[in-house]
Amino acid sequence: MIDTLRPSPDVLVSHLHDETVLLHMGSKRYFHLNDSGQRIWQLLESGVQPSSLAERMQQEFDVAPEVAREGVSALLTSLQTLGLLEPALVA
Amino acid sequence: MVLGFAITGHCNLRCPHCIRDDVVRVQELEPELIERVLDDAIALWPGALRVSLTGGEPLIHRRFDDIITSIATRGLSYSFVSNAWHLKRIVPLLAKYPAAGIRLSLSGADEVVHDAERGTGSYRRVLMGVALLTRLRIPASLSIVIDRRTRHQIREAANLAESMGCARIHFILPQPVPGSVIRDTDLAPEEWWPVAREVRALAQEPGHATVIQLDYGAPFDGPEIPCDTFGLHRTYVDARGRLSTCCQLSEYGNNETDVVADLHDTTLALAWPTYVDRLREQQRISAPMSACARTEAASLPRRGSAAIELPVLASNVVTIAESDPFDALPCIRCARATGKMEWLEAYPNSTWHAARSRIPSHLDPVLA
Repeated sequence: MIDTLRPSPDVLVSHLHDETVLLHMGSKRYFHLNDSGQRIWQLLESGVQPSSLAERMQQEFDVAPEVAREGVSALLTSLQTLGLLEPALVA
Repeated sequence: MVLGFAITGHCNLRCPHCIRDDVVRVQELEPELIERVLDDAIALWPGALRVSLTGGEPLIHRRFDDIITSIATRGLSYSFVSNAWHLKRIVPLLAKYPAAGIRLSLSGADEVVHDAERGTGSYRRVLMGVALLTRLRIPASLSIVIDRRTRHQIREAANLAESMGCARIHFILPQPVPGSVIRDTDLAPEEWWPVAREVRALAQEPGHATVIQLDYGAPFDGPEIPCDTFGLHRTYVDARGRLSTCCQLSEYGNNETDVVADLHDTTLALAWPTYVDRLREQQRISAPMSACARTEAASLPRRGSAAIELPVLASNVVTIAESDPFDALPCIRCARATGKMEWLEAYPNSTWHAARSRIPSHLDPVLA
């Protein structure tokens, strides 16, 4: 079993051209992700492990490894704190 | 002046409380007619024109983009009402030509009540619609009909609008329709008063960022203010391109007494004098009985022997107002006066059955 993160079932997602709008049905709070945040969310939706996100972002957005790591870490923390992502165990 | 267009007659939903007689038959207003009417209206009310779109469901018009482009490129602000099902699809259009405001319809303040009326997923579409509009910086409002299903949800609806950051929430006391009568979800006329008081009290509470509004048609506590239509601040073109005396009466009650002119055959400017005449007649025949008596009283000399008669008339005012349960309900009076409540003849058990006659029979002696 692997510890991972997945979108909360309480979250509605609307992907637009270059951003994503997230709505938490419980709190009724909503958020928007810019293009890089949108990409991280899409990767999580497709089952990519959080530990692989920084490397994928480094490649796709042509940023330094530490910038990618810090950015991904900060976003994942925020998304968990807001209840938009939740821990999950996958086989 | 607010120029309203019902750009579709049809809708993708089948809400039993909908006031339109037929939302199944596909009916679209031609963009070319809209453009012509817009140009007429700009000439009639230069610099003072806003456009409001409704339906049916306006977003399912196949040329919605063309219509918005026509409005926006003429420098006019616009707003519309929607059930939000197709809002995401038009986000790029709204980003290009932002609406002045968009009103999304609720049939319940929570997912269970709303979706029971509008289908699974409807509530989530509305809430996501608010989020998308806010992202676009377009003021989003909610509106909710208050009937037996939602009577207990007034505060919950206001809290929802507040928590979503909506500009406004509108509370609507809906006109009865066959669908609502059959399933017995109409509030009785006398139940409209406590609803109105509750909404008004809620609106007075401090600390709301969202404006709480009781829509026109609810009973007035004090002097009645004419609606925007009677005040010549609003006019309306139905989904068949006809100038109508009221959006609330259009396609309601299975008669077309609201229709003034087909704008395929004439211009707005040419039809306007007839429209105003019809409106004034409609206003006259739907005036509250209590107001008629007041007018009568006011026209009497105030000195001499007439002074003795005034208290008598004043007591009549009370008697008449109390004897007509619909006297304080302006939209119901209007619908009744134009024969649009006659369908209630077939529903003797409805609490609105007494509104079926054009002139309340028990008032005839007084009127005579």
